[in-house]
Formats: sequence, C-alpha cells, structure tokens
Amino acid sequence: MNALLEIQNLKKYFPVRKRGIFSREVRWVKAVDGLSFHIDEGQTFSVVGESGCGKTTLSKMILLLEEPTEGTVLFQGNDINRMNRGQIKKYRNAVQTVFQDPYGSLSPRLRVRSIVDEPLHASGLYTKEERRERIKRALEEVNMDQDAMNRYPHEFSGGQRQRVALARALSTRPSLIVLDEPVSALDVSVRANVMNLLKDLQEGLGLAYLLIAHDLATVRHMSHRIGVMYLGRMVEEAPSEEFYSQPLHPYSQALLAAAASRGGLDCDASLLEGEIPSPLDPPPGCHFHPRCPRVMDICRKVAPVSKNVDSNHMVSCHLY
Amino acid sequence: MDELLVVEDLKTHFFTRRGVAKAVDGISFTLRHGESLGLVGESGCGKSMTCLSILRLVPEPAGKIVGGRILLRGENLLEKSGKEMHKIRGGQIAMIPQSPMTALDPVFSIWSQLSETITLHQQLKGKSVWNRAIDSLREVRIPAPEDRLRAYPHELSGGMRQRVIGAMALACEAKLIIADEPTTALDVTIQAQYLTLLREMRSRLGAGLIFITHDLGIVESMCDKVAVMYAGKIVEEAPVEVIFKSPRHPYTQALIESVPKLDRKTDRLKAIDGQPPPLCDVPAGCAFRPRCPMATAQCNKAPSHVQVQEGHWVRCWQCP
Repeated sequence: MNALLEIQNLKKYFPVRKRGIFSREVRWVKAVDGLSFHIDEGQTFSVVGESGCGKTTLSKMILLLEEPTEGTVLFQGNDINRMNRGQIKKYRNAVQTVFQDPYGSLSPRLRVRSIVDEPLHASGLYTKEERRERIKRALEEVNMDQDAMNRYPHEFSGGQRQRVALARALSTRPSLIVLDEPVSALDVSVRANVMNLLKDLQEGLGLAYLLIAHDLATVRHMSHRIGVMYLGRMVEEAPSEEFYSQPLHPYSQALLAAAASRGGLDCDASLLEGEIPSPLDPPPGCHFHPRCPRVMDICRKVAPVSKNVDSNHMVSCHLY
Repeated sequence: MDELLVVEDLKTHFFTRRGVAKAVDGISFTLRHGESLGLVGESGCGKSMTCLSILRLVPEPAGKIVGGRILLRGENLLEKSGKEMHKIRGGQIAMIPQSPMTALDPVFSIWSQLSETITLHQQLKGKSVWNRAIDSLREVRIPAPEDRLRAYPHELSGGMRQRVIGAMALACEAKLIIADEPTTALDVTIQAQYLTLLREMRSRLGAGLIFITHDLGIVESMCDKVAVMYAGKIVEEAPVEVIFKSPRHPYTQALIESVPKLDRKTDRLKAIDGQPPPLCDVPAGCAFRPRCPMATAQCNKAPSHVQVQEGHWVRCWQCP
C-alpha cells in the first residue's frame, strides 16, 4: 500500500505577545509540535484527543489554510508547501473537507447546485458541461434526489445538509477527505446514516479519510488506524483494533476508560483528574505527567521519544 | 409522601401560523425522591419543552401549557403565581443547561452570580453567603475556590463553568435537578468527571434528576429509568436494565441499534430512515408509523399506553 499523505515532523507555533502588539516578549503556543504519520490510500486515519490538543491546527495545515512552522506534508511524494499555483489547484481538488456544523458550512443564499459547484468553479479546470455532469453524479453518490439541486439548504434537515456538504467534497473526485467531527452535530439516528454512507463511499471510490473526532465509539466504527494527540504531540499510534484491545499509553487508557464509564461499561483504569494544561505553558518532560497515574521521576524531566513496540504500533512513553 | 414530581397528561402546544404544534402531547410520569429519569429521543421530539413546562418557562405567547397537572411535592406548579414560581426555580428546582459557555453571564463575576442565587433562595446574609458559596464550590471540587469566586466566566474552562452551575444547585439544596444535555459540550474525560460529580450531588441532596440526552450510553450509567419520547409522546418507559435488554417499541430498538459500540467492532450500523415528523403535522394514529418496519393497517389508529410488565409501559400495537 502506498502512503497517500505523509507528514514529517510537522510543527506549528503561534506567537503570543505579552503586552500589546509592539511588545518584544514573544511566547509561543506549540499547537502542533513534531507530528509524523502517514495516511494510506483508501484508509481512514483518525485523530483523537481533548479539545486544544492541536487536531484542528493539523487539519488546517493539511488543507493549506495554515503554513507549518517546520516540517513537511507530502502528498503523493510532493511537498504541498512548495507547489506552484497549478499544482495547488490540483491538490485542492484532490484533498477536500467536510466540516462539523452543516448549518454553518453551507451558504444559506446559494442553491444546492451552486454549493456543490463551488469547488469545481474555483478550480477552473472544468467546462460547464463537465461541471453539470459532476454535480449530478455527486448528488447521486450521496443518495440525494436530483430535484434537490434547485433547493436551498434551509429546506433540508441536518443529516441531509451533511450529505450536501459531502457531495460538495466529492464533486472534484478527491482521494482524501478531511472530516472534522462530521457527525457530532447530528442526531443519533441520523449519525448512523451518514456513517454508513461514508463507509460505502470509501469502499466504492477508494477514498482515504482523515477523521477528527472525540467520540471513541464512532472512531472505532470508522477507522483503520488511530493516532492519539496530547498537547500537540502524538502519544500513541496503532491499528484500530489493536488500539481498542491493547492501548499502551496511560492517556489512551484513560480516554478509553472515560468513554467506557459513561457508557456504563466496567473498566480497570481510573478516571483522569484535572484538565488539559494550557498549551502556552506545557509541563516539562512528558506533557501528560501531571495527570498520569503511572508517573515516574524521569517523566518530569525528559520528554519521551516515540518507540515502535511492533512494526505498526507506536507509543511515546517512558514505560515502554 | 414518596413522590417528588408527578406529571399528569401534560400538554404544551405552540400556536403558529402553520397550525398548532403539539410539542408536548399528553405526557405522564412520576419521579420519586432520589430517583433519576432519562428522557431520550431525537431533536424536536419535545424533551426540552417538557422540562421548560415543568419550570414554567415555555416561550409565550406562542407556546402555552394547555392541559395537565405538574405536582412538585403535592403542589400543582401550574396554579402558582409568577412570584411563587420565581422562588421555586433555582430553589427547589435547579436547571443545568446544555451549554456552559452561555449559561453564565459574562459581565458578572462568579461571586455575584452565585451570591444572587444564594441570597434569593436561602435566608442568609453577609459573611455566611460567602461561606456557603465557598463550601459549594469546594463540594464540586473546584480548586482554590476563593480565587475562583472573584473570577469571571471567561477565565474558567468549560468543565469548570459547568461545575459552577452545579454549585448553584448545591448551594440552594435543590430537590429536583433538571439537566438538559449537560455534557455534550464537554470533552470525554471531563464528561466522565462531571457525570461522577452529578451522581455525588444527587445522593448528597437526595434529589430527583431528570436527565435529557440523546446519548444512550450516558443514560445507561446515570439513570434508574428511561422514557423514550417521539413526536411529543412517551412511546416507552421502563427501568434502565429492562430498556437495554428487552426494548419493546420499534423506535427504542432502532435507537439502540443505530449507535456504534465501544466494546466491539461493528461493520454496519442500522439506520432509521426518514426523520421525525414536523410537530405541526404529526401523522394520525401512531406517529412513528411512516418510519416503522413493523407497521400494519392497525397502526393508523393511535395505540394506547399498555403496561407489559411492572413499570414497563409501551405505546405500540405490535407489542402487547
């Protein structure tokens, strides 16, 4: 299998000035701090973690909405930040996105036809005839009637809007779709529909997904590989089933325990105390040590490096 | 007296240009002291309106409670004057709203918001108000409560803010807590912490809890009994063990099956087709009929509420 998207030592630091914009005292928020992973063709890679851990910054860098401070994002072997304009257009067609809130992400003033047409129009690579054909096909793929084309978003329910958003992403025939919490704004009964559709499309069209989510049950249902982020760093990365049967990092274990306890399941690991620290001032050594139930002396001083426990399973923790 | 809250045939209707929307259409349930009831259903099924009716906060003039009785400790809330309700809300009944970001007023400090509630509902003055505030913040495990009292809502995290709202309920020794999806805006780990806290609060106050959610997992771990709502009616009501083991109503069964499971890999989710009917235009007979896989001609007539077992009520023709 080929890596479709490869991320190497990716970093994004945001400057924070202490007083006023002319102040010279600059501190840095390390939103993403040295991430490396890859997404294979036709697979789902999920990123989980609490809010503020850098998931969204990561997706923005992949979508070329933020420029990385350091590191590279390779798409089919090409560095996306060194592409020329023509290549960028092609890249934007190949990598699409669906946002969390289908009420905010569709313009209320445009008909569904124009919404789905937007990425096609923007790329300027297609004739009018091709565009019409593609809009039609994209709507078919998300199981929507053709007469939906002439209607406005407010005429649809949340689940249907999310289908329109998905049709918009599909219209340019992408190979990777970034899904930022695609179902969390939807009703439970509708979620199942959208998730099934996403899986069908993946099988039918060979799409790869980067799924950002916090509901671990949804993530299990959707993913092939899972990466756990904590304060900008990847603490564990493993194939989905291995992650759920044998989570290694204490943070992964705590996340699973928290999800299990609210679902009424029994679990061994204890619940986490406290909240995620401010990324402006992360703890030294391993970022997780103040909340870690298995903290050792070394964790307070030295940041752990990531180790492979087997060829597929990466963890960065001093325990291993 | 055993019953804390008795709701009998409650009807809340909205009079709109498009007709009468029966948001709550003949709901009855009882809640004992210290008992917790989960209200489950898709959005727009009348869960939140039921609770707003109990608090007498139905948006007027469009909405109106047109029938039924709400007895809190034997007293009918529908016969109370506005002034009397003012004392009951926040005093005997505490409400924990969905979004901790908007529930607190951003221009007042935590102290002024907490003390307002305490002076209104408890016969306390001066220093003892301060002490009570500190005590209740300590009980919801907010570190350094003296500092937090002087803080403004934006200085606290989402989980903290939700705890402050919990502290208000504790300070006033509420007898009934109504929680409207209190954890949807929170991270998994914080959710788990908060649910533990809510359980403690409930046993400490001996209060009844109405927990509105669409997350069946939380219901399983939080509630003694469950009422499933559909289009303004309770379609099934049962103790929590029963509803997950042997759900009788097709809607309940579909809801449970549509959720991905954390403890095993699911290949395909069973989705419920269609959407709940608009409340102005609920089909005659059983409202679930158009989406129901088991519907027969009999379902054109409205089914009555049948007891299938001690404490297990179902409104469906197909499960006698």
